[in-house]
Amino acid sequence: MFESFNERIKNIGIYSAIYNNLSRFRNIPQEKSISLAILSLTYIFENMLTGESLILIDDVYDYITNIDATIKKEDAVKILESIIFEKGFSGINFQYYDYENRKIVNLNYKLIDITTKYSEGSQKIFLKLTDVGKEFILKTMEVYKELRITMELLFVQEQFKRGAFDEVRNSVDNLKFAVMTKLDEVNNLISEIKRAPWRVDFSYISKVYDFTLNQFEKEKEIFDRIFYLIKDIDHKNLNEKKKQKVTYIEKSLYESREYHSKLLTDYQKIMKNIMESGKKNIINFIVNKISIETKYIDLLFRGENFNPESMFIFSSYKPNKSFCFKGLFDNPYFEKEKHVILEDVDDEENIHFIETENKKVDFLVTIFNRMNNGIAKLSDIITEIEVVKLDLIMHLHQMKLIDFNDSEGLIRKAYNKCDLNYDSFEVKSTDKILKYENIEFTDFSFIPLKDDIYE
Amino acid sequence: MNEFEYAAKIIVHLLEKTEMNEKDNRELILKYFNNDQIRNIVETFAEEANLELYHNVYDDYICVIPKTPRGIFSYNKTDIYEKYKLDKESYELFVYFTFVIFYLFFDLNEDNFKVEKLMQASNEKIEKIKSDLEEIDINEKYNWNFNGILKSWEKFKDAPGTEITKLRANIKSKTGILKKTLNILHEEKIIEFIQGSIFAVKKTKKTEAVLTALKKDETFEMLKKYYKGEENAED
Repeated sequence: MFESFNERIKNIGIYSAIYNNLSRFRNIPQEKSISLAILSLTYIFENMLTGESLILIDDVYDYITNIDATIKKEDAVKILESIIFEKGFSGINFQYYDYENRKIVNLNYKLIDITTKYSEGSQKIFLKLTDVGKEFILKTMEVYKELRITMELLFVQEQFKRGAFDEVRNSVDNLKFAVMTKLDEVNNLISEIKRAPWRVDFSYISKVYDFTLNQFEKEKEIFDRIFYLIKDIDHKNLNEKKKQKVTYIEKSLYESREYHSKLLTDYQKIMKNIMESGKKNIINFIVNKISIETKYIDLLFRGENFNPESMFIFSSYKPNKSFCFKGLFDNPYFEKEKHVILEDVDDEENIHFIETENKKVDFLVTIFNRMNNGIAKLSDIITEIEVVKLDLIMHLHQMKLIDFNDSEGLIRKAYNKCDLNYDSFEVKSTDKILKYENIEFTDFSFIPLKDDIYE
Repeated sequence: MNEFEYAAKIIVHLLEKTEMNEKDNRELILKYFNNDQIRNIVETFAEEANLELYHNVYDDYICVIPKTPRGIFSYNKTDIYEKYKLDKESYELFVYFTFVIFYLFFDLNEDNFKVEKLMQASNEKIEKIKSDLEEIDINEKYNWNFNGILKSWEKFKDAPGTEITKLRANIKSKTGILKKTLNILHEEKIIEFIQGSIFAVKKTKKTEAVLTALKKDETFEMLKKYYKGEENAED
């Protein structure tokens, strides 16, 4: 029970220490001092991410006073000091009672390191986040794990600047590992989106997507900067061992950059895949909701564009109809002229289209002629089922009542080929289930009507 | 639930009810307005299903209106005849009164009006058609069958003056069809009766959606311009 206690309290204590130190001011409201302190830490952190290892303390003061004009510079100094020092000593403190060892324990957290440097003719104070500070700020960010490659790259860059080739060698290995791990993660995510989207945490993706993409772009720049540093190395002054190290580092970095480029490309595919999967997912969800027998679905959507209306044909669920106002007020005095626009069409596509259309017209002619003898059943007409035919039947069923006087398109074409003793017809589904190969679907009846009946 | 499930729930609700507001489902409405991905999915579906998607963030309101009268989500004439017990002639008058209602809402920028005003506006427009036809063949000029509407108008008798203020009216009279029109539009949530009375009507959230859709309707725009007496209404 006490094993992880110290670790847990250490993690919690830092929040308490920050809170205590920032709630002691008389002239700065506590809610403002806390916000400004966290913003200052984030400011330092983000500057470090862009490659600045030290941040001028005056820049942080300016940052605070620019955010809130009511905060004076001396208040900004107090806020910053309260997360750097406590009672004149470096670090901020938290006390707790350790029941395992029966003693009071003092914890000291150093969030920020202070360095003085001679710059532009005067001594200046610079800040940087300590490991504790970085860890704290990363813990408070949801995108912590999205920054791993950036951190590794920054390590490589810093070590390179210092000429610490042994450390760089280890870091480039870590970097390569981090890039490849991320690449694996992204590819797994893409296949998961395709295969089992319900297991994917889309809310997390939407939160970090833009940030991560932006971060990849930044990382590309850091890669470039590191290669620039490598080019600057004077190989003549290096001994053989160091030359070998630099060659290894360079090779490893090239490989990491290759993987990183792929990572960027693959990451951009995520959204495209989400949209594609969304379409399938939404169909599945609606299909379940309205209880369509899924065996129809593949057939309906195979090779065809998704038609949301088709799904209701085999369902007991019917959407609520409403008025379509487009065309409600149409009442032309003259018959509308039909405008034909001729466009260049790919020959092969055109031939396929004509073949399909002819097939549909022939099928309609068969149905129409059968109805000259009374009610016709689909099962009496077809011997095999094809998607084109099923699609056409569904379309007729949606129209419910087809009046040849108002007909156009395929129906008109088929009608012109027939000599019919009726003026309109109705399409109704029956209880009979037809089976062709592995496909099951409802039988339909086509009922011929004469004008005097339905008017 | 993930984004797709939320979007699918919204779509199913819209298909069942045609509209959705905060009272129906606050969670779904908030998701729709605050999550781009959910909104994109619903928009994509509406586009594919030939539905006009209207939303008003200030009213927390979404609705769909069919873009084509041929789809499964839209009444065809037979549906309207059957559901609302109309025939060819009463249907034409219903469409005419519906036009005048939208004309009043739209062009005169009225949010509400009394039923007498509607009847008065309808009469005025018929008079304009009659007088214009004496001078020029407006049927030909605007390629719209004004004669047809005159014919239907005259087939229905004028109501006695008191009938307009009575709850019930003879279905064979103009007032009867006008009240039927109001009842149909009320049932379709396109208008609302003020204090539950048929004698005064006001806009609903759905009216705004329909008016937005009608802005794209060339015939409606042409008729609107014609009745307003604007030159070259046929352009």
